[in-house]
Amino acid sequence: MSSTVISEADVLKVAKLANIKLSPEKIAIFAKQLEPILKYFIKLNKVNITNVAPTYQVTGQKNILRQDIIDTKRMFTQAQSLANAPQSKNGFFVTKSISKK
Amino acid sequence: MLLDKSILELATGLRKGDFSSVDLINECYDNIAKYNGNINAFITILPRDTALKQAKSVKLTSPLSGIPFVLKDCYVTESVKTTAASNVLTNFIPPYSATVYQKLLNTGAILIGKMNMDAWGHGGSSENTNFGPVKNPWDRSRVAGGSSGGPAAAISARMTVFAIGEDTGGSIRNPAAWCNITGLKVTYGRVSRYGTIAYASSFDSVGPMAKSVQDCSVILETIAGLDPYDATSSPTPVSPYSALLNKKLNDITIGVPREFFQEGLDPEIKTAVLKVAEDLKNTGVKVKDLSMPLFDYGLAIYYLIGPSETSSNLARYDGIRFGLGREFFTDETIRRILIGTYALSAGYYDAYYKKAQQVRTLFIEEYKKALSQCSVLLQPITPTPPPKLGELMSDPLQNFLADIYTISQNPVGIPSLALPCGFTKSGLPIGAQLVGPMFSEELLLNIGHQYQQITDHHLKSPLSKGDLEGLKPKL
Repeated sequence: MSSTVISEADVLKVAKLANIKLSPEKIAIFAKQLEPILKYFIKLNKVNITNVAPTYQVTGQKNILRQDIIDTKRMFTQAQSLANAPQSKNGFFVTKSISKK
Repeated sequence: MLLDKSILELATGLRKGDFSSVDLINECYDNIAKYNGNINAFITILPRDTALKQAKSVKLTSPLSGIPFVLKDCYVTESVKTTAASNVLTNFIPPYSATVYQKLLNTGAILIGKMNMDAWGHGGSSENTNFGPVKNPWDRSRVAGGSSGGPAAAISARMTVFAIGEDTGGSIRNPAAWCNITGLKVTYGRVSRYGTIAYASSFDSVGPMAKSVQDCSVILETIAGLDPYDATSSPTPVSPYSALLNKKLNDITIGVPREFFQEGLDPEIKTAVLKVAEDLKNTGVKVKDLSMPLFDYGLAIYYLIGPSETSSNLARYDGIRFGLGREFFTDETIRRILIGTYALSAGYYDAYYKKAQQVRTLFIEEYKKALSQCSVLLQPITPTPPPKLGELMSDPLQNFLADIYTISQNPVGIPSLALPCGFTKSGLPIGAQLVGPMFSEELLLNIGHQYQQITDHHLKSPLSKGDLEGLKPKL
């Protein structure tokens, strides 16, 4: 494999998807660092996976449900919920506006 | 020193009045004052007064009552700062407690510290931390291992009796090997993950770190079990592990998978790990050479699924409800988020993420096949002795390769016991791991304990001269 697996444009796109802001310098560094890592993964192509089901979890358990009741031991007060928020107002979290002004 | 004693010796001494929980707490804090400045194992040291107050009023209801312990700083603790070693959570005071912490509190064990680690579990050297690297008590110019480096270093330097670590791809076993302590990566689901700051949710496991297999057994029987707050915790009954350690090893075969002992493994480590099988022959076990040809794919499976899951888990850190913003992630964490986001994104999902999960299925079969030919597998933990500080951070891919033996078990879910098994000529600790089928903790601990009855590697501490200048093993 001599062609590039991940370009700087790819890094920028992925960083945006992950909500991480990167400077142009960092994008160049990460593109260079991720290239050999992603190329390393290509070795998985050597394994025959025809008709092999994926394994997403190993517990062997299915549909573990809880009772549909309110567990008051796990409830927070409004004050507790807001205690770690960098900004709150009138009992609400303060966020940046997501609509254009 | 009280802190050289086993948990059961301490529990007996407390009941006989030979010493008190206050004495134990004081010894920990005295050692922290003496050694932690050089080691940097702690992120948060709990106030001594608070710990002493708990010690004075403790009721001796369990072997862990009145015993001081520390938590890797990835467990949420009500009213005690919890950082995951990241600046993102530098000011986070959790409003609730992890199940493992609550269970230990219920037994009367006393929390004295929240420990340094690789941020979010991302690393194998405890250098990817915003709180300064952890230094190895056996040689302070070297890393302690990771990601549970703080807990391992603190046990090794006798600043605590035991610790709870967390293992996603070797994070308990790697620092255990490099700091000469014992650690258990439990079967996935054996211990509740509720209140654990998640790295990779289908790999994460909560386990004990201590000076001996016996100590780990006492801790495990306290923390294991079904938890309604963790739907992946297992209803499999919990054994009285510590009472079963002296069972005779009848019909036990140790499998030695040759792929784990090939190119890339330090020759001194290879010799020391293979010696474990030789030593165990004296307890009556048989040893069998076998092959696991898919071994080499483990790293690719791990480093696709782990980062994919972490990119999803860390999406919650938005700096709105708690913690600071995403600009505070370290480069190593950003790399893992980028790899995971890439592998999960449209157009790459099938080629990377899904393929890794399919090869994972074959990998699980590979382990089943190997474990059908023997009782447990013997494997090395690390390919090299602890590197110098900074060495692993320079090349991200090489950094991943350092985990090659310990990432192998987490995608499968099986347990692995890390045991001290000797030292290099230069006096650096070496560890070996015993790997068994799902929920074989009882067997692993039984074999591990028998091994520690005929060897004394685990008894050696770096405190030979009463301070950390003395780096030679105490013989």
